[in-house]
Amino acid sequence: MKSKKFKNGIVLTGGIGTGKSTVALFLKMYGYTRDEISNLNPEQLSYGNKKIIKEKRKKIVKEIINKGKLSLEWRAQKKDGTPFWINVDLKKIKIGNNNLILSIIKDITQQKEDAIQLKLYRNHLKELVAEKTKQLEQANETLKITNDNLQLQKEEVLAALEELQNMQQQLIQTEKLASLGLLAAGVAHEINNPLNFIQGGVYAAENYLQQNIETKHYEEVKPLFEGIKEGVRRATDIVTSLNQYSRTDDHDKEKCDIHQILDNCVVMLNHQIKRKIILKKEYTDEKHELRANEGKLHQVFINILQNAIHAIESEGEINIKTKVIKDEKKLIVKISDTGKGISQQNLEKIFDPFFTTKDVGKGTGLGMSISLQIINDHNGEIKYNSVENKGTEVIISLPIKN
Amino acid sequence: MEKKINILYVDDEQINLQLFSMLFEKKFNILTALSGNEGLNILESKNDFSIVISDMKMPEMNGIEFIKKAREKYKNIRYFILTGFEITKEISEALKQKIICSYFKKPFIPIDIEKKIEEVLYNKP
Repeated sequence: MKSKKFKNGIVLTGGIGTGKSTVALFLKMYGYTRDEISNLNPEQLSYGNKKIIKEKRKKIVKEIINKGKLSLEWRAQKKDGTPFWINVDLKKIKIGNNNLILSIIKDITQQKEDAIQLKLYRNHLKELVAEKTKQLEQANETLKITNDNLQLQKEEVLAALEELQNMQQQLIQTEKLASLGLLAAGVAHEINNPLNFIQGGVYAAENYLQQNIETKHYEEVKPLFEGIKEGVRRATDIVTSLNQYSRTDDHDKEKCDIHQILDNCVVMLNHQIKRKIILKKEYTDEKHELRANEGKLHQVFINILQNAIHAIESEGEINIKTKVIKDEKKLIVKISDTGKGISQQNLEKIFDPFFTTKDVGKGTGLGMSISLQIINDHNGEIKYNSVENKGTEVIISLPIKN
Repeated sequence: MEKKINILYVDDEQINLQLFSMLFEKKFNILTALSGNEGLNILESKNDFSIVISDMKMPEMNGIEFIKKAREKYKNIRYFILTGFEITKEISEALKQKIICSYFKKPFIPIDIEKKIEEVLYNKP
């Protein structure tokens, strides 16, 4: 389609090689007949303020004259006033002596609409993506928090598990000892009866010999009787000790004076203490109420003091200290010695039943495991600290009422 | 010389009865029974016992049950338990209620029992 350079109006000619059809398309685009369009100027075929369009057109013509060609989009107007978009390719040409501008017009309304639609789609897509991204970020954040929580929970669970395992271990140990006690109580009677035969028999036989044979003969067999009696004593000790593992019920507990219990223990062990050992006592003045099984506590402190005495080979010191910790409602009894101490290896086994470093017959190896059981039954704690060749301290804490 | 007091000793083990008699026959007049029921019969037939000592664990009737029955009739007798067990709830309950004066553990040392009996008989608490 060509439009001839004109002053006013549009000159339509047939297109080269395209014939009428090109003109027909052009007319159809604008909705004019061929005659109608011949009298129209470019402003009338454009949409918008005619004055502004005229100005624009002048600028465009100048530009084409300078550059030779130009391509632009234009808002055209149909006969019925409907605006539509066209693409105009303009080119300066010369036909004969006439300077002409060749314009090729293409209806791009559809393209424009498509572009707008596309832009809308693109914007919508952007929004969608932004929205989805936001959602994902939120989800991610939630996941992170959940993950952190899970991590925290995992740590808590692990800590709880470890505590549980410790408690289980302690429980197993306590249960083991308790069943040992139960077993011991069961067999005690069966063992004590035959022991009674032996001991009774020894005393009866000894009486008989004392009265019926010469003293010098009796003196000769006397060590045999002493040996039998010692054997019975040791066996009885074991049976009695094992029996101590049995549980202490709450109603077996009564108000106790810890200092009186400790003093009684010292009195009982005095014959072992007085020669080589200096005994120091630091008792608290603070009032407290201790509810315990006096006999069992007595046994605990006898065991500990006896170990302290045995740890001191030549000379040394034993310290008995009591303290009230009001805030924790605890009574602390600390017994320390300057004896030979306990190796780390042995310290781990100190509460094992039948573990002893003493000579055969000197210790059953039950004292500390019984003491542990008794202190556990009293909801207390027992702790050992020891340095080899320096000494040992035993710390017992018992719950009290203020 | 003072007349020997009568002591009844009840235990289901024949050896224990025999040994007990041998150990104490010089000081006391010892009668023995193999069960609570036999003990009750002996108490019935001879009415001047000062002391009854009984084993705890016996078939049919345990020591405390036997002593409770005996006490219904013979309130002036002093009762003791001689047991292979550590002190049990039943025994400590009987001690609290003064059903028994004391309890001895097997294996026993004869002089301990002798001393306790003398203490109970002559320095009544």
